Amino acid sequence: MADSYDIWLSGAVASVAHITLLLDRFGSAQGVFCAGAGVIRSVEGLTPLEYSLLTTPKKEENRLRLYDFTVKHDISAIRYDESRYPKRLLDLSDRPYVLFVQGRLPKEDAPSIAIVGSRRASDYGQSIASFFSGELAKAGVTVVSGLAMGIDGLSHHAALPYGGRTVGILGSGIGVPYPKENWRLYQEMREQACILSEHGPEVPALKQNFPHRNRLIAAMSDGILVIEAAERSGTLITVDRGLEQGKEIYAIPGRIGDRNSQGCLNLIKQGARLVTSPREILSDLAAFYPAFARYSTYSSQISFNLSNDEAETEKLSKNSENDKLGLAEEEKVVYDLCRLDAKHFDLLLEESGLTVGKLSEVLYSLQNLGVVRQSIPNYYCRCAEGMLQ
Amino acid sequence: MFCKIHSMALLGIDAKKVDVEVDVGNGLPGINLVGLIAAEVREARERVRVALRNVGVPLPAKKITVNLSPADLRKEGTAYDLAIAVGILCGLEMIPAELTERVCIIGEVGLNGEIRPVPGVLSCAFSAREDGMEWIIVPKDNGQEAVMVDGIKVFAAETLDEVIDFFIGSGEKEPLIREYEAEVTETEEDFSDIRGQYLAKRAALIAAAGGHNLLLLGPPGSGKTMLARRIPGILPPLSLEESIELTKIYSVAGMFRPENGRITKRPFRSPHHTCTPPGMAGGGARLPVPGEITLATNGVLFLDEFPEFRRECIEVLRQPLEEHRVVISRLYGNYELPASFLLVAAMNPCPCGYYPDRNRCSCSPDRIRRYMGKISQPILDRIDLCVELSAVPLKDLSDKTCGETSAKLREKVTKCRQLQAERFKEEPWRLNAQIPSAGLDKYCVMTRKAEQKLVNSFVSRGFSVRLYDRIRRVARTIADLAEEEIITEAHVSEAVLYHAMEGGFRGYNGGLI
Repeated sequence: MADSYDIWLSGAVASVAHITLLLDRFGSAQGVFCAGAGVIRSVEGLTPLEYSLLTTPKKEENRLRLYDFTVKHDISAIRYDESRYPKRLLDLSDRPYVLFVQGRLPKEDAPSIAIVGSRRASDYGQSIASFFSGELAKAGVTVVSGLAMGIDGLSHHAALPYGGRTVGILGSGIGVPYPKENWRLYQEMREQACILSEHGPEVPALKQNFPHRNRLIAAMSDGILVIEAAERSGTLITVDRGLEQGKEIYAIPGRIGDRNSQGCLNLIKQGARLVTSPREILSDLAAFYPAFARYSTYSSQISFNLSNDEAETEKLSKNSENDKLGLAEEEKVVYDLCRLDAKHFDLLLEESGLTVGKLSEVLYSLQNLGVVRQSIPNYYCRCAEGMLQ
Repeated sequence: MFCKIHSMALLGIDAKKVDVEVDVGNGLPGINLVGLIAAEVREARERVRVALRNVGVPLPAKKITVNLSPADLRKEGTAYDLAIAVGILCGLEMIPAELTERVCIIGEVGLNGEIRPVPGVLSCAFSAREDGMEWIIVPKDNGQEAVMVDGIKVFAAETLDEVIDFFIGSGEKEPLIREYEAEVTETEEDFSDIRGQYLAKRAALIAAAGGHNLLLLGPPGSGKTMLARRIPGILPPLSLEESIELTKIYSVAGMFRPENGRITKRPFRSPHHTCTPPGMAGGGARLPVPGEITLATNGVLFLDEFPEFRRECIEVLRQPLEEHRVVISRLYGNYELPASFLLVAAMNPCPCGYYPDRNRCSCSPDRIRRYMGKISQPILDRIDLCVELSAVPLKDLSDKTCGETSAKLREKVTKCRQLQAERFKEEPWRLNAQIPSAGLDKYCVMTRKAEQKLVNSFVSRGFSVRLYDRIRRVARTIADLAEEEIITEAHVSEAVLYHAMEGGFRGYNGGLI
């Protein structure tokens, strides 16, 4: 069990390398705490902020406050030598000294996939993220991501209903989650799933800590699914860390020419696995998790109608799918016109030839059926989930 | 000798009778002005003295006292000059007092005796008629403005000589003839010029028909301004009262051109986003000058780049949007100005303007949210319709098939407004957009299914309760356009389309994008 000194040290020093340096010198976190200012200053390589936090006269006050905070908010602080410490992280050369956890950690023997991507996702990326995450979670896979805006947030959101099999890894302290726009998501994740951070509860969101955080996302998963990424993107850092750790990289293809597709397309060119269906990921995982193989029956049913096989797509969309959804005649017409990329109402109006009143009625009922959604007002796109029902 | 001349003071857009009392008697020679007067009124003493001398009436060595009554009303402006001059002539017994009894006099006097135009002559003429005046003497440049009022004879004077002649001359007094007749002019801009944008055009039609305020969201070049400019053209022609009200406003604002006749075209005001709150609501140090909202009365107030306006400038719209009038408090009293306009606002969907086209827009969700947040919820609550326009694809621009013309749409709007006037004849309001919450149950009757649908959408989409009322009002107008008395499912599902700003952040992803 991490004591209050460990918690204090994680709050004062962000970098694992620096913590190791200090522990080598002073033996334990308590040793660091008791060391005088002069001795601390003799340790080379720390940042000015770290020096000041380690030597401040208020350090006793800080230590108690941080400890109280973890107790009050039910945050478990897990030191690397505890049995609860996630096994996946033990292999890391720079494993976190203390891991702060809210919620419950995922089962060690469950497969897990990181889903990462752009914070400024397109409608297509949003639909795909929700769909893949939902399907993977449903099949028993833990979805790991970074709680950011865009793909990250949507992936957590979609995985939550299926037993909360999702882990969010923060780049800031658990007490000050970033970005604050996702506060509702944090709330749900805390209650139903799990939020992790390697930093003390009060460490603010600092730019330099985020690339570091990505190594944990990679480490906590068996493979990394990249949904949308620009050519230079933070997502690609996660991919690099994953490659260093020997993880499988999956990429969703995007359209050539779209800014958000470039990163994924480059990954595919460099050998990332192109996936068009959650089934492909699930069957990969089944190879490593014998206990997981029972999902293969389930996974064989998953087919995404974006599959490469044109004929199959055609058959799916024209016969089974529409019939399965039980759509009325006009609903079928409009549903067929909708794509994963959102279309404006005007375009649907032009293509369907319906009146404004009629089209709005049809779209309304399609939305109620959950097969079409309004991505932003007056723009409509298919729900990926709807294609499977 | 004592005498009394009638003149007019402007209060807001209406005028109130002011009596100019003059007494000429013995005492220390000079002119003395009293009666809560502003500096420019006090200066009339010099203007009038010199002007009278220059037309050949040197003032005798007498004490002249001029009182502007009622003495508790603040008098401003230069319009009393002429009345004071005539009053002095009367007091000197050069003009018989009985001749001035049913004459109202307004105008500024120059040192050489010329008579210069003043604002608000139309309102003065109206009030003068109400007060039972037979004649009104106005500056020549304001003549055509005054003759618009029937039932009062107008004498338009160019110089003080002419005014003296009017009273004591030998010739027959000829009232000024109206030179210009009001005529309805067709607008050159037509709705059929706009290609595509069916949803936005439809929203504009609903806005015009039910008097609903409209917010247009769309990328640059999608035709927001083009659409807004055409909305006055589909509103029904101005009624006589509306036209007169409007003409008065423009007369007071000094923006009225008599050669165009009574204003018959609905105004389209498009203030720049650097506009100040007094510029928007009306203001000025003393006499309130009508602001943009008053100038847009019975027409359209178009606020382009809505979030770029100063916050106070937008917030100032709250009261006028509810009450269709604005009260301006100044040191010398409260002035009430009409402000019943149709608000059409336009804005980009994000700071760069291209969202949701992610290939062009790189605004972060946070930036978009902050941009949207510039418009406060109380203002959004007063905007019933909100649509998102799409970027127009090139093929649509070359497309020759046009939508309906303005004339045709105007017909629909007029018909729809007649329906509303008929329905609300017992009520203090005239348009669907003005139905108060209490009246919604009575006037927005829905089929059971439609009501069920609306209730469902609150549960499934997290709509707020206050949206309920707005959707019902819009559905009422949609049903009226279809000439149906009961609101059906189709009307409700269409009404739900026009709420693009709802859900806190745009989009219904529970705050995630």
